[in-house]
Amino acid sequence: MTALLNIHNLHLEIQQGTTSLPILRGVSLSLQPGEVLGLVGESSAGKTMIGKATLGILPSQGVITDGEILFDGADITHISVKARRRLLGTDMAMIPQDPMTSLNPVFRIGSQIADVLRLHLGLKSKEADQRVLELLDNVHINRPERVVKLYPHELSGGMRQRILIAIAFACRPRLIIADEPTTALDVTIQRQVLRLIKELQVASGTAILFVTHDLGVVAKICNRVGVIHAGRILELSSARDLFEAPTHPYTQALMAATPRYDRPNSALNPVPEALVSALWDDVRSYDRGERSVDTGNA
Amino acid sequence: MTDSILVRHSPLGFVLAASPRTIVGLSVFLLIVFTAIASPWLAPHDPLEQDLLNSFLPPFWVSGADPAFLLGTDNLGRDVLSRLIYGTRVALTVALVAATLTGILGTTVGLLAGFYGGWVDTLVSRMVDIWMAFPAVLLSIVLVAVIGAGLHAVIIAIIVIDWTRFCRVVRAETMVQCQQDYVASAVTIGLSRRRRLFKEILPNILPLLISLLTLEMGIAVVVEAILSYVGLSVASDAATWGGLIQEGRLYINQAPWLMVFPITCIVVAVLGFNALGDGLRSTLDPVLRR
Repeated sequence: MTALLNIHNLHLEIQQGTTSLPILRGVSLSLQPGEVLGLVGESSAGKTMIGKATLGILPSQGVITDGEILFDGADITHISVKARRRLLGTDMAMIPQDPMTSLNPVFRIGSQIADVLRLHLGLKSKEADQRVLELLDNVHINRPERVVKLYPHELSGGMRQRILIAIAFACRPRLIIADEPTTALDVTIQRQVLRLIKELQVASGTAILFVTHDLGVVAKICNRVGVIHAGRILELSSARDLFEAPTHPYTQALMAATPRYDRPNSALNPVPEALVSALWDDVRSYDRGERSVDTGNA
Repeated sequence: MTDSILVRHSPLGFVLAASPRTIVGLSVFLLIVFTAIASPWLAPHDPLEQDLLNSFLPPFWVSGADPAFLLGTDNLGRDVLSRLIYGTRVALTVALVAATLTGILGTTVGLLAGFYGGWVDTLVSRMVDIWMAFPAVLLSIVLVAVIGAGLHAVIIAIIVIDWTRFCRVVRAETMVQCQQDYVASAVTIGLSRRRRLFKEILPNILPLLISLLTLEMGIAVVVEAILSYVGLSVASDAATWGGLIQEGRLYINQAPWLMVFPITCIVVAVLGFNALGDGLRSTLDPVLRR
């Protein structure tokens, strides 16, 4: 079976004027159809950038300097805006991080979902309206015929995230990038939303690239997990292996650092400083190696 | 919940939700519109009819007034009230046409500058800077002098000068909106740039545009008055508020009401437009609206 998404040796830099800051340092991963791959790592590890590079929505300073991204066998690393637009919404979609600000504040919920259906599936207004109700029902929203008439600010964060999930799944995409979809929600809602994403994923067979910094989330939803640090994947294995027998010392340290409610009085274990500085030494020598190759060519 | 939605989306609900400021502004606006349309029926006299025997009659509360001329007469015995009533036609035409066209030009340029950034933005911003360095009144007089006096010249002058007012505000607001997550989400569902700009961002700056538009209507009334005052608007015998001020100025000692009434009209109209704009902005904004 060919991989749905194949990222090979991806290098990405933030370039501003003459300075450039490496964000991704040779990331490689692949995602099978219908698979959920988790990406965990601390802030600024570059996990969000992998998702953005895949969708082609990098900030203007973000430049892919090496490597390639294959979607369904086709190279989409540098395709045109137009070709990209044909993929987005139909083949690929995104569940954003912050549900509070990701819906257009001046349009009613119903019309925002119906727009996507009309645009991509060419549905007539009536059919679209009907389909919107079904989609809202799929994400377990009560009385959808009432909710379609509301504006985003009239809904809670959990409700809005359900709406955004409904939009992401609306055109049955083959790949969804979920960028920390539960971070902005409180814990009880997180659980419901995760269960909902998993349920829709199983029903539709959509593959999900799940970006998060929460190991607990990963355990609930992912088939495989990649651990990222400073733009490199340190360990990529099945979720079960990762939790039962983490091989990389950084993964082990992350596991030990997670507070556990079954041991409430034990001290917190931060990732050891020696390990962090060893990792960064490694990163720096990697960067130096790259740069010396460059000057050798010049 | 259901009740509140019903109330909010009906005309009755709108009036109930509106602030006193909106209601005052709306009343002034509707009064001006009504007066302009119904001028021939409202005005007791022909605004151009001269009655030299009855010149400089005072308004009704001063002794010696003629009840046939409620607000008195001018040096040629023309009825001041009738001239004020016909003056609303010019004021309203200029306010509506000039403000709308100015808004369309300034908003389009501002949207493009804010959305595309880069050299488009640089070009537009420098042009706005240069524009704002010109003294506006002088520029408008020069423009009208070149185009030739008349209402169309006044309108063109207002557009040419005031598009920057819309452009600056719309550009800044577009930049703010572009940073919002909902615009990023619009990209990920595959909306084109044009769709994002006009279907997603533009509706979000609409409340702002409405208040700008009504402000501009007030400014247009003032500019028309200025140009009338220097005799560059419509033909000098036609009744305009600015023209009335200019004629009255010569007789300020004998007949101060000749200036007081048109000035009052302008002030009330401008205040009304501004109040309406402010009020509508908070009433129409779905986020501010409760």
